[in-house]
Amino acid sequence: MRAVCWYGKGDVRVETVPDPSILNPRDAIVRVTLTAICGSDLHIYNGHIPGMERGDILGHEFMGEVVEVGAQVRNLKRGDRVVVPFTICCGKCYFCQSQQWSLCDNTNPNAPALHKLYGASGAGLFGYSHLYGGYAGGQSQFVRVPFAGVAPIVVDNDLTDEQVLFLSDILPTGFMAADNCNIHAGDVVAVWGCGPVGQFAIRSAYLLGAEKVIAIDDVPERLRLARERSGAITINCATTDVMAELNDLTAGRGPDSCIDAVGMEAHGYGLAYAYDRTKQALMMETDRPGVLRQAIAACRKGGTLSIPGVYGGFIDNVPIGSAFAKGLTLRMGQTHVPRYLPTLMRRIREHEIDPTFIISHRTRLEDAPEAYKVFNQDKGACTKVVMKPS
Amino acid sequence: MAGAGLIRRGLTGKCEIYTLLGMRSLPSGKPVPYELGVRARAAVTINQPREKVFAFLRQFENLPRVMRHLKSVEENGEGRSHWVAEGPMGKSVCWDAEILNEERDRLIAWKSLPGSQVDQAGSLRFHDAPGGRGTEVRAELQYNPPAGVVGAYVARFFDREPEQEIVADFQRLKQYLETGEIASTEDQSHGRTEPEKKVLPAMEEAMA
Ligand SMILES: NC(=O)c1ccc[n+]([C@@H]2O[C@H](COP(=O)([O-])OP(=O)(O)OC[C@H]3O[C@@H](n4cnc5c(N)ncnc54)[C@H](O)[C@@H]3O)[C@@H](O)[C@H]2O)c1
Ligand SMILES: [Zn+2]
Ligand SMILES: [Zn+2]
Repeated sequence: MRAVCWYGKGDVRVETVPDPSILNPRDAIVRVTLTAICGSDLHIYNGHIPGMERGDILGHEFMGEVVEVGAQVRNLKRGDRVVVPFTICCGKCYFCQSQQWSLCDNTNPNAPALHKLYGASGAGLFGYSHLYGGYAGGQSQFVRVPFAGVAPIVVDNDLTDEQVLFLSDILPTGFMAADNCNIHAGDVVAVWGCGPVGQFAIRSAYLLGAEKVIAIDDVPERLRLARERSGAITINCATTDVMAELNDLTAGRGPDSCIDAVGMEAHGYGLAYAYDRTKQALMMETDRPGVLRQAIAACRKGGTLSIPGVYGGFIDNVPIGSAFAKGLTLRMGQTHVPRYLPTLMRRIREHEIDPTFIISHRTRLEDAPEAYKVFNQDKGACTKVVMKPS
Repeated sequence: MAGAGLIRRGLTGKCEIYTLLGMRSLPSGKPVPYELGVRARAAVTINQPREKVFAFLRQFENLPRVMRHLKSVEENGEGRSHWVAEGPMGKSVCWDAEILNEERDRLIAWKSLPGSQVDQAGSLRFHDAPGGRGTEVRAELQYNPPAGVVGAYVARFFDREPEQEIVADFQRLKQYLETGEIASTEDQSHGRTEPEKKVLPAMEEAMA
């Protein structure tokens, strides 16, 4: 089959590789009909994710048709059309059973390595380094899906691939980001980052009752999308003093909740940014925490900071004193995708959310190297790439 | 790595802490320098009833299913068993062990018999986890590095982090008992034409 493989920083290629096969009794094989590139894939592309091996197959946003099931797979059969969450979940551990799916105890074969790094391991992830299990990803014609009867969701034929594909990751991620904000009537929510996750976080915050959502980015086209399609008030952080503007928009209170939908590769300005860039380049600081610092500083007393943006290591100069003084709540982590699938499926069907608006590029899987380049470099023209394996 | 695995097998499989049992000498009569010997502790919580977890572990023949590099265990009756693990350079290492103490659903304690290539003692203890969250299993192991080639492998392994090794096997045990299978990505598709150096061992080396 053909698959998108990673060979190093900025080096992805479409290669012919062996077809996947059933390795464990709860596996299924899915023929991929549509797949996407995620902002998280760019962290790999840009060399920020440790534990990658040359030749690893990328991709954790995908859907398709079940073509083979292992002997122990229940509630899934050949021919089913499924969206596959990026987190692999066993369904039997304490975390799966308490709806904290991305913290699953049992699906990362390399849990000991992650344990060493972080003190614990969560779920195995598709196409996201050997620290997260080394699972082959879904930017390919076929993919092996472990524990296939647990997290994947069967979709009806009245919904198109494009309508449901983002249930695999970014739609629930944006929704959980808003859900974590504990929104009350009258709340103002500020969202850093107007990528796909940010866009869905804005929409979700409104659905969960926010009065006003303020979106921050430095890409004019993405800000326009946030205004026109997601209904946000926008701040261009390249040309505007974000803190002053937020202060003004909330009449001195600060946003009730702040969402960091940017993560470790935040763009920044001025001295602090130069410091973070240099430290990151020298591998002394793994992540650039510009947005995190700003969100802590901006958030109102007693407010909530929700962090869907990915961080992987260590950061400096985080104003923990400010967070403490203001009594902030911090919530973060990989998305508990299955928790949100039923409600989001219903909201898509009832046209409360149309996730397709973020798609800017539709290509063939064969064009993946170009698509990665464009998504990485031209944030203005490119908000989301979906790829069809032929 | 094979050497390491072998030792770990031996360890998790069949030791019982001398100190726990108040023993300070090896079966051979040599004093056990227990401050010098290698000791390790590890614990895991398994989301299954205590009887089930105990029964699986007490059936030593089950252990090769969850323990890497353990080839076989044979129970010979009267609490004695024969263990075979992968050793260095493709050889196997074997030893005999006996159960010193056993309380159903609570405790298994054992030690290796005189003449074994691997001198060890250990115990497994079982408790109900609070809040109905399954079973807590605690392993304590003590190990006296042997001489010779095997010993060199063993010693090198234990100089590093024996507890991490037990944790790794416990993780597999937990996966097997909770889900009925052990998560694996071996033999799956990739775009490598020749075997690449595995990144994780190198990373762990760097972190050690
Ligand atoms: N928690 C999860 O489970 C999960 C799931 C999916 C994605 N993510 C993460 O969410 C983040 C966003 O994903 P995406 O797909 O939307 O990525 P993306 O790269 O398309 O979007 C990031 C956006 O942040 C903007 N940005 C950069 N610096 C900024 C700054 N200082 N202030 C404001 N905006 C800034 C960029 O211009 C870009 O528009 C990534 O870190 C991704 O890894 C997390
Ligand atoms: Zn993603
Ligand atoms: Zn689980």
